[in-house]
Amino acid sequence: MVVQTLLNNDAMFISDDITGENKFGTTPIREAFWAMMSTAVLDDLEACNGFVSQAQYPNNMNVLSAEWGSVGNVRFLYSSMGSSTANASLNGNDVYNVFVTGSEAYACVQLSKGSAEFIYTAPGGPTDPLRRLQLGAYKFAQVPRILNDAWLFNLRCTHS
Amino acid sequence: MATAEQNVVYGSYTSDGARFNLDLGFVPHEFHQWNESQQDSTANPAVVKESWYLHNLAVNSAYTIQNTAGAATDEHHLIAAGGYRTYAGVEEVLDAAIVAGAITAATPPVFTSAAHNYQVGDVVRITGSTGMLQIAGIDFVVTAITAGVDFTLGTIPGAGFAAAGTAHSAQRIFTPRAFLPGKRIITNVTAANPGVVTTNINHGYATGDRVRIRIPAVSGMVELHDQIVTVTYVTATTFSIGVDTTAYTAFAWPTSAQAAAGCLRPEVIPVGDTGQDLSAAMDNNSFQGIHIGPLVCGANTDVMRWRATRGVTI
Repeated sequence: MVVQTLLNNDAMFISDDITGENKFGTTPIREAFWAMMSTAVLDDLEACNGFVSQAQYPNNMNVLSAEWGSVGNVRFLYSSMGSSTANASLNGNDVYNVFVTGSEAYACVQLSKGSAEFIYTAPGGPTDPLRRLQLGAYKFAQVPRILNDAWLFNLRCTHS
Repeated sequence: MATAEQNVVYGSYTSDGARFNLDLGFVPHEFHQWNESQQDSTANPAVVKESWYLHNLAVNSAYTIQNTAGAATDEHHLIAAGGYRTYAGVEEVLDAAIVAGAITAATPPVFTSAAHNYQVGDVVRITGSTGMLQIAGIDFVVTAITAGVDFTLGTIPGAGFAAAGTAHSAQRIFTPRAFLPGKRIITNVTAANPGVVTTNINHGYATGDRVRIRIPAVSGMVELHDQIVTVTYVTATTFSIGVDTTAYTAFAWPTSAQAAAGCLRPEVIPVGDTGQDLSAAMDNNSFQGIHIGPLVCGANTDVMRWRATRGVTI
């Protein structure tokens, strides 16, 4: 339904298909939208019908390090900081937001006056006579914008 | 061995008697408050003359100096509720759930809850609303309270529900919405020209914002589904959409049974603005600092002075 909805809205796939190769245990991968999810529901993803682990891809040249696998026309990226809404189900369970996105559904605009800057303060100074403290920090300015919300789908689920 | 105090910030405010979040720009290791207006008060144990937080103190706790009941002396306490809570500006934080009683099928509905500590303007997440599951899992803003008795969520048109709720669980959302504008759940759309949308919590939209309306079949007014409309601000929880909805199918909530089986919710999703470009996405409402609880924020008109410090922990 997710893929059908995005295609009905003329969303474009992000990645091309991965052609099958003569390797045991591998399977070709369809062109795909990309999904971003929490690590908390990886086991439920693996239980989905048609799940293919990235280890079974015929060619790992275009596999991202944060990719877990694919189901049909969706490839899944995971993060421990994946979106979730605490206690938001009918019964008070956590609800996980799996964002499925098509090409150019959103963009990040980098502000010219806010280029990334790394700031380092060396040990020493009048408040650090034993030269024990040093500081590292970074700052940058960035504006992410949704370009077309019809090319994004929030698949909400609880953990089984 | 020297330990530097890296940040020391001072400030003051006149209390309105309500708890609030103080944005310091950093997470303090120590926060100290003096109630200047109550320093000479006697025999009133409810008055907190002085209070402070130290790094890693239990959430909502505080060291306090309060009057002794019936005497002109002060005494020290460590309170476990109503005190301080630091916040680092990252995760969503919810208060502990308060499991309570009935919900009236009225507009607006009244939630029976003797243990609630909410104040008007708080956002609470409702779950386990037995008999009224269509509102479960959704956030709402508290619009009225009776302390120790009940609270009201003003954006729910409960009079249209088939039955009252028999129980519920509510959790106050401690943290504000990080970035505005955000997606909102639609609780009502009038059949009018122009139609007026009511959202579950303060929408944060401004006149000129462009939003997409999503109405699933179970919510009735499907003629409005997927339309992109321009917002005209009406109130914090309502806005008009410039569309004549008088002939549209009436907006409706799913039944409790439909919600239990699983259904989509009507939503409004910001998609752009016609005013100041890019301003909306940059409206960062998160904060780093400390939450000042109801027992340490002073009474209405009290002058409060504070000091916040952050150093090195060893």
